[in-house]
Amino acid sequence: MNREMFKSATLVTLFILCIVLTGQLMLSLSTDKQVSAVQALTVSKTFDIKQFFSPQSYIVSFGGGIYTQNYSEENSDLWKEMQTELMVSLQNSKSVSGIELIDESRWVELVKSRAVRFRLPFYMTMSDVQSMLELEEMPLENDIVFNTLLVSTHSPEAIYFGNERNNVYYKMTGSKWSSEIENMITKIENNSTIEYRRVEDLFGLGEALQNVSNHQNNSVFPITSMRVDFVNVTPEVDVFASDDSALKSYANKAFGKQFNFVKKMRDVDGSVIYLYGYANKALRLGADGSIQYTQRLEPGNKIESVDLKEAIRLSLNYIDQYGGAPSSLYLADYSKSIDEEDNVSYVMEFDYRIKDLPIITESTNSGHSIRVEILGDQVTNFNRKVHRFKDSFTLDVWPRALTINEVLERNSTVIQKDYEALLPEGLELTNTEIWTRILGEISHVELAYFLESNKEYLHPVWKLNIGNTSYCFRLYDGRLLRVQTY
Amino acid sequence: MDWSRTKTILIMALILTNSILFYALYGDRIGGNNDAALAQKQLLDVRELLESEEIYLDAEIPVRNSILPDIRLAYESYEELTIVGLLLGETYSEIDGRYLSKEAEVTIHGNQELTYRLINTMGGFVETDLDNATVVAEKFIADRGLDSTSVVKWNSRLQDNGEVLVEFRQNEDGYFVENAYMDVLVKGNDVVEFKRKWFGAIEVQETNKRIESPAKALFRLLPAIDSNDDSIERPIRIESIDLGYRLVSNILTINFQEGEPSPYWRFRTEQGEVIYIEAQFE
Repeated sequence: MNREMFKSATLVTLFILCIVLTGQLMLSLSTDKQVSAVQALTVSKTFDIKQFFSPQSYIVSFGGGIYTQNYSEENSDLWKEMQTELMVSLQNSKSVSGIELIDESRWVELVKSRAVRFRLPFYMTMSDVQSMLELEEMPLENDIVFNTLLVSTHSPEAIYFGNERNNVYYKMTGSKWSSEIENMITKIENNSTIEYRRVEDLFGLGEALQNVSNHQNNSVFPITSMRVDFVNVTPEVDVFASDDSALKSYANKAFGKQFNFVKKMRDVDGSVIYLYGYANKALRLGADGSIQYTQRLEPGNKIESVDLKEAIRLSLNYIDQYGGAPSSLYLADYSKSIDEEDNVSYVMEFDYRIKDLPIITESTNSGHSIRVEILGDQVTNFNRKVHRFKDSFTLDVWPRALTINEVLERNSTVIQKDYEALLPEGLELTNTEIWTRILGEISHVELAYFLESNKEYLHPVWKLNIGNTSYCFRLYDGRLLRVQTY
Repeated sequence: MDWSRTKTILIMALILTNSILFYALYGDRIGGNNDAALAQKQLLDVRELLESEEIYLDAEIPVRNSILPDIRLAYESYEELTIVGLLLGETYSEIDGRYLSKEAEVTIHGNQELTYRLINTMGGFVETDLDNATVVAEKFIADRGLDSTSVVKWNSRLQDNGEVLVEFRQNEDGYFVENAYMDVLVKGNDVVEFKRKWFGAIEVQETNKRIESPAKALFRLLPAIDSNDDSIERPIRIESIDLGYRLVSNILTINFQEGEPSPYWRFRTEQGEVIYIEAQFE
């Protein structure tokens, strides 16, 4: 009898052990699965990349030498119309193959007519535009490079492309574009607040510059100004928050749930860094609200090259994963390079707007808010500094906003010194000659918001580009905040 | 029905099932003596391979538990100025972040790194004895209450100007902890400069890391030597092998205040070169 009892006890024990072991085995299998599931999650979400293709500024000419350059709802509608027109024309092989050169005087005529110029954020090729509109690439015999698109009511069957750096202009003829564009110009005319003039007309530079350049300066220059609110913003990441679950969730996104290989560090300034393995991957959540991610590719892994469309999608996936895409996000610049082993890499830069003005971020080298570096089909570096709108306020210590003319006067010494430093050695010019040249080289003026390091509000500024130098001046007192030479 | 027999069959079946389950779960961790013999053979093979490349192992190869606890380190912060008092005495003044007494000055960088410098030192070449310098350096540290069981002498080197640099490193429970140091520069019988960056609190976590065997680390030593930035001349004699912690760095890590270090094997050559090999078992 005793023996039977012993057998029963053994049976029960073995049965319980069997259940426990089975449970453990299932648990270990499911965690393995979860890990790969989490890693798989970080891939693919499809984006409409057309949404991220947007001009840097819209210059609307009302005819008669009056212009405006503003950012508003109408502009985004105008751009949507323009995108549709472009898509129609670019899918018409006759239009694409019939792209022809036009001379500068025709371009100037068009600029002065009732027209809209879309100034792109960077010089792009026709195939870039095709990629960004998600069109099937139509091979072009000679791809063209441009930074401006123009539609004029005087020539409603054509879209024009301008390369202002090289003074080369093109015309693409297609079917007549929609009358919506003309209606919108009228709408903008009724609402515009700042009046602009063409630099050439305003300063009468033509004759004075004849011995330097035969080309006209078609940039527009604001002659009035307007008050712009200051904006309080909050950084996306708060490393000093008592609850670190938000930080952990970023780390989870970056490394999956394999926390056994993740090390957490804290810098002297409070920034939190998560390192994966032996620092093959790292995520830095900065005390200044920035998000940076970097990963080293395993040597020997095959690198699959991607095209521009895929590179934009890959960037958008990362932007979405780390903090989401700000509503007004747009591709601000990109560069592509191929190394000696034929590996393709991209640097993609994005910007966003708050209250219709672009944000210039002091603490990033390029001034762009998001930078994504891609090698093959992998993101190797990701750098993001985006702030969220909190509220806006006005400061009435200044009676009014300065015009860019007043700002130029207040900063003339600095600007002249910078310009002289870039002149070829031995070239002696009088002050008048120097200023004629400076005005002739004004390529862009716009209102923007400037985010100084360690500040949590946006300062309205005039952004002024002269040749290869870019200045940011405070709108209300003209103080120079930043100067950059490219 | 023969109930007793059924029970026996069931017991046999369950023993078999449990064995399979047990093997599936823990199969890679058992093996016992066989593994030890295998490890021994691996070690011999690697040793042979290294010797063919003129790398000789003079050091004892540690036989250790293959598990290392996770730790968390935080640098001593010098916000509280007791340490300045220890180094300069009671009377000192502060000018622009520098602490000055009649004889010496102390500066603190980023709350972490402390530098003590003697102000009026003799000029010229003063020959300093290596052994004596070590005694002077140890006494300097002990007199200021900065010695503890975690302070280990690492190296002493004669400098071109006759001074001797005595280096101390941190060691916790028999494991080295890198990224911390006390460097003492001795001239004659005087300490002319002292630098300290040291971990204060060391928090041992509940989790552990599995460690690669020394044989595997030795196997990876060869490519590590070849890819070393400063080329190491052959023949190479490995003088010591030990296990410990080191903070990994990356372009995104700028100035650590606290963090979790990773396990490393540390190899030191007769010439004083140091090579680190990642030790975590993946």
